Amino acid sequence: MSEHRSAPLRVLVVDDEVLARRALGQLLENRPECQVVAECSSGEEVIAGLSEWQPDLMFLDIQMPGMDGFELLDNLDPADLPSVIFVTAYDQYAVRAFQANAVDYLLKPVDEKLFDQALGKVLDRRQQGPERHGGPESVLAEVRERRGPTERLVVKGAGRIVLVPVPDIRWIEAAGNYVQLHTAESTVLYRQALTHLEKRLDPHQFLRIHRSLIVNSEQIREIEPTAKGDFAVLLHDGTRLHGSRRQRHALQLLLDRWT
Amino acid sequence: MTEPEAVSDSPSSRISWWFLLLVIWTVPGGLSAVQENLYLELRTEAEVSSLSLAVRTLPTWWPWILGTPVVIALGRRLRSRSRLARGTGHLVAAAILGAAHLFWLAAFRTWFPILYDFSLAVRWEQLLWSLHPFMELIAYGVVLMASRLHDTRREMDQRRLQFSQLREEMAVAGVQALRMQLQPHFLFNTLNSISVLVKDNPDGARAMIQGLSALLRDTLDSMDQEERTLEEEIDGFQTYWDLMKIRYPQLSCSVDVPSDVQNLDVPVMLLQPLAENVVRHGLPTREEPVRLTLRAEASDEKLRLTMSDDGTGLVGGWKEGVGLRNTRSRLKSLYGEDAVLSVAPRLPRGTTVQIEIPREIAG
Repeated sequence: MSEHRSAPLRVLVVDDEVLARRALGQLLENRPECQVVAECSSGEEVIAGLSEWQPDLMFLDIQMPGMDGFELLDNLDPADLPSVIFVTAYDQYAVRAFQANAVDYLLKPVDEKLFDQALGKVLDRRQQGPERHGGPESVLAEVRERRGPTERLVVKGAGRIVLVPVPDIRWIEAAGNYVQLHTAESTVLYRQALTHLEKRLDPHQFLRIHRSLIVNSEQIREIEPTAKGDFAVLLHDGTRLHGSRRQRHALQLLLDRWT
Repeated sequence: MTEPEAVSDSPSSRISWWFLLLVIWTVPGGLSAVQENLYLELRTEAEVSSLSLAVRTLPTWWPWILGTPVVIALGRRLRSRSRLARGTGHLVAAAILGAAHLFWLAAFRTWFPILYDFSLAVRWEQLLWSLHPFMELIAYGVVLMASRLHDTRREMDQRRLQFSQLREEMAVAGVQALRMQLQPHFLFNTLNSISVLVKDNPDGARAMIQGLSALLRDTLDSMDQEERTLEEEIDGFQTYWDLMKIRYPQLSCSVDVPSDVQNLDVPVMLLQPLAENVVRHGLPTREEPVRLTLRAEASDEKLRLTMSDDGTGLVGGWKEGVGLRNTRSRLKSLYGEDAVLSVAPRLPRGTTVQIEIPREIAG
């Protein structure tokens, strides 16, 4: 076995069953190039701890209580997404549909040879740079396509995980790598770029009216033109949002539906 | 005489129904045509062309084409009435329809006599001689009986269809129940656990293989049974639950089944899918303990099984999944409306599933 002088591969194991996590632990024990940084029993735990652990590779079970493996991926920002190897008892049909090499999968009970192969691929990819096999962006795009518009967002709050139902969101504002989700009760920070989140939402309901703004069309009360083709959107709760002329087509879409 | 299919709504079958009536009610006219022909040949020298004879005799019973649907409708309407009402109704109707037909026959024969060269008086004499009121009663009776026969047959066909549908549903429910028990997820996750224990805890692995074997045997044995005693059912459930407890150490269970209800009959593999629901949907994400409680109690007529858990409970937007729907349809096919299955939130948290079935002693 070759010497690995580089930093070890940081591995995260996600499975709701303790023995299933142990199964991967057993296989990883003999691999000094890997370091298990955490074991999680749910997707919520992953969202809570991901920024702290910064894993390079995630072994991910699909069927779990609460959110399943796909919903977890859907709620991660592409910038945070490690390589993913699905480990599944019987969801291979769901995983196999992924583009070849974008994501690998192992079946339970895990065959050691196949495990070595999958791990080898991740290590190779790491040496060759991330872009070669379809980056995380393409994996997430496929998850998104499979799941349809997102129905709830899983948000890491202060020390807890909050579920925000998408229909409750009134408007969304970009804030760097984060977005602010404005609901009737509160404003929460969600770790995902606005452009990425936009693709997960139903385009008929959520309109991008500005580079940094998405608005829930059901919350709109009035639209008024302002200078130079820009416009302002007035919400039922009194909020006034600035719309850019570059996003006029979004407005047009809405007006077409209203009239 | 065979009756046509009852009038249905499609235009083509409507047309063929009337056409069939036309054919049928031309038969008695045709018979009298043959009869008249023979009679005329034997008794007179007068030449009557077959065509003109046909025109004059074939339509004699055609009014009954219109009478037939009336008889059928009346027959259906009177079917549920008392015998007296039925008899009176049919007698009156037969008298009216028969009289109408005879009247029409008289008019027809007067204007289209078989032989024109008789005086009107002779024609009338012949006419009276050829009227048979009794035949009208027979015609009415034959139509009524044929329609009754046809309806009975249709009812039987329908009942047979319903029966076969029910059997099919039962078969599907059975197969689904089996698939629930041998869920691939369950099987492969269990094998995965065993493969881990082989290294860490060989005795545990052996126990788990034995548990899985017992469960598979129980599943195979229960395939050709509809019911078994509550005691056997709980044994099977325990085998399953013990395996689940190895995979999810946070699970626990208490069973409260008085000894006097243990020999009552319950549907086979009733409890396992319910427990599976608890594991699949009721586990909190943080591996907090979840306790399952199974209770059985019986009155004189009912056996009530209650399975409750203190897991996450029914979340918003909850709707019944395949497992519960399947249990529901099995209960229905076994006990009809006598079985009740209810799912409700449990306080302070969790879910309660309650099943009530008729009390039956194992036989």
